[in-house]
Amino acid sequence: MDQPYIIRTRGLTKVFRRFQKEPGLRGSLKSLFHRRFSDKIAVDAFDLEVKPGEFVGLIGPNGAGKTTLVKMLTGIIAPTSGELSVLGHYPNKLENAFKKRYAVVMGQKSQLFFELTPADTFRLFKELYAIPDDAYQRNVDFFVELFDVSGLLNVQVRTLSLGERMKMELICALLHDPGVLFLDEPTIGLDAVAQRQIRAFLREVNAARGATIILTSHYMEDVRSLCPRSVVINGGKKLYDGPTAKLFDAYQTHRKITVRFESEQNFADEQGSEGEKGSEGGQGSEGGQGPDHGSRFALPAGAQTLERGPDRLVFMIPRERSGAVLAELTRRQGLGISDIGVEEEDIGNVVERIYAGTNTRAEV
Amino acid sequence: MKKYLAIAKTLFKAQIVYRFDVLMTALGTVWRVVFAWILWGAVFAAPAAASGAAASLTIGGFTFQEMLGYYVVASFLASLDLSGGVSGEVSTRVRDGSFSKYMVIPASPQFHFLAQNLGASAYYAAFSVAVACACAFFFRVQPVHANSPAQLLLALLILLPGLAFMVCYHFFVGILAFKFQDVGFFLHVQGNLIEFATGAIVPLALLPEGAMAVIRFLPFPYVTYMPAMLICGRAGVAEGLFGLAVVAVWLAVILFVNRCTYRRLRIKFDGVGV
Ligand SMILES: Nc1ncnc2c1ncn2[C@@H]1O[C@H](COP(=O)(O)OP(=O)(O)OP(=O)(O)O)[C@@H](O)[C@H]1O
Ligand SMILES: [Mg+2]
Repeated sequence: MDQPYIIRTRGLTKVFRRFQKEPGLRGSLKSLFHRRFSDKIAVDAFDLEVKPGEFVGLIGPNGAGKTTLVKMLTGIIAPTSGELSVLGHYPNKLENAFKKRYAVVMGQKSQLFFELTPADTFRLFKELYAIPDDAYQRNVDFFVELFDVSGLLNVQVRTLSLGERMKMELICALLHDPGVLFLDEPTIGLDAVAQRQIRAFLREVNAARGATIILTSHYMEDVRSLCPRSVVINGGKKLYDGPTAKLFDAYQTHRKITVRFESEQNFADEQGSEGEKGSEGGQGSEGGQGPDHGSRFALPAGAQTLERGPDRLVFMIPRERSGAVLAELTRRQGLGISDIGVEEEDIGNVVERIYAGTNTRAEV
Repeated sequence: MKKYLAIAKTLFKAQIVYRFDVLMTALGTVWRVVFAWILWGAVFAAPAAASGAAASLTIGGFTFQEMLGYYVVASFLASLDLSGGVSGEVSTRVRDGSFSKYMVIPASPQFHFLAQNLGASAYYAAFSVAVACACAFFFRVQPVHANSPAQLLLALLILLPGLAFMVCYHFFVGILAFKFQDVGFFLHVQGNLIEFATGAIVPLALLPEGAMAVIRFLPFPYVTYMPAMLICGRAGVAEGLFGLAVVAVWLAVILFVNRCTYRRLRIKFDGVGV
């Protein structure tokens, strides 16, 4: 049982066959005999090794193959080819001994029974997993306290809000003290408070309980604050596997800055016209572009406009210049700036950059 | 086994929430009896008017009152069979990918559905007994004609594997969705055939010999028909034992077939959905 790796895949591949049917009843009948398929490689020769106790973030844009990978790791779907071992089992055999040792929570799917109350569900899971009384009680008390959901235990699951349900899903998944926890976008659609609570929960589960966790999320903050190690996947292939800090350092080269103004602006001509990605002529008439730059807002050098509103401007700036730009913005009071927000770049850009195999500041 | 008992118990409790469903099922029972009253009332009335001997007229060995008695019992028993939804639920879940929730918990999906269904049936049983009694009282029929406790006992003994068989059968139809894209039409057709073969529409005794010879070896008549006939005192212990044997064999067969089919077909599951 003491294997060095808790998860190990070699050349793991999943090819989906998409069934294509002609429209109408005739098409249906015809397709009973003559099926036409198109193939889609969702996960492509994927190698992954995870050691016990690791907390791995799985990131990639939509359609990258993250969920497909998680489905294979949990045995829900069978791989098309490649080797796969989780906790020493081949997941798709669906052995009960295996199922009792992991848990999976998918943000978009429910493991709960909608007609039951959480309390009933917990008790049902206690029996399903043969959880000893004391361990069960300890876990329920602990997690219910942590999430502050004691008031919701006796209402039907279907009446819970998304965030409330997600907390219950997580509690339910952890009742049997799984050794491995798979999480597919557990924080999707949740508010900041719930996201923080869930992060605290996951940190606890990983650190104090020693569970190995594989987490996919589109929220950079989840991965950055939870996962020491990140795996980036795109088009079913692994692009990066290493320390999260290094990933962000090397590839998250820009910051997103949102500037709000007290009144509507007639933005001066942007410096240069480089990379105006998202500006679909938001500012119809850019009339008076006078030379008086003194009281008018001008985009800092090297910035890329992302969005422009009447009283709002969003742009990207190379990370190492963000300090200087912010200082400049706050220094110039005449501009009438009411608010400045600084955010991380989202995963799409990071992946694009890794994909391009470059971490230079080259404009795309 | 303990875990399946827990599933059954949990679902029993959950039914309490479905007050409307239970009510509708009860009304369904009443409706079947009323329907029989109208239909058979007309059937019995025509020849009775011709011959002038209404009370003693029998069709297939049933007097009008006995016929109604059969319907009360059969409708009650039929209301316990909640398996009809299983094929639909399973096939829908397979197609929308949410079947995965049964694949990741340490319980066999087949037994999970079985336990879930029988748990719900137990709840309906308590409720439906009351409705059946009310019907019997209202139509002034005396449905229980069993002349030995053995017949009643046998009725119960057959009912359990009978209901279990029905759930498993529907589970089988449901998991065909792993392989076939559209099982909707098939679901519809088999639903009608089964309702007929279980004797819920017409007492099977009225069918021609040839048809009966085949149906005798199918499990469907024993789910509600045989127990109903036993309770109404129309079937003897020997017939009951034969029915029990047929049902038991079929149950064993379907459990085995489902196990193999599920193992083979679930590999094809592509777990659609996000
Ligand atoms: N059952 C299926 N049949 C056919 N193609 C599928 C199936 N499931 C997924 N795909 C395809 O495989 C690819 C990977 O899908 P997957 O759900 O793994 O992406 P993902 O990384 O989880 O994306 P997201 O961030 O949007 O959740 C997608 O292009 C999708 O269209
Ligand atoms: Mg996904």
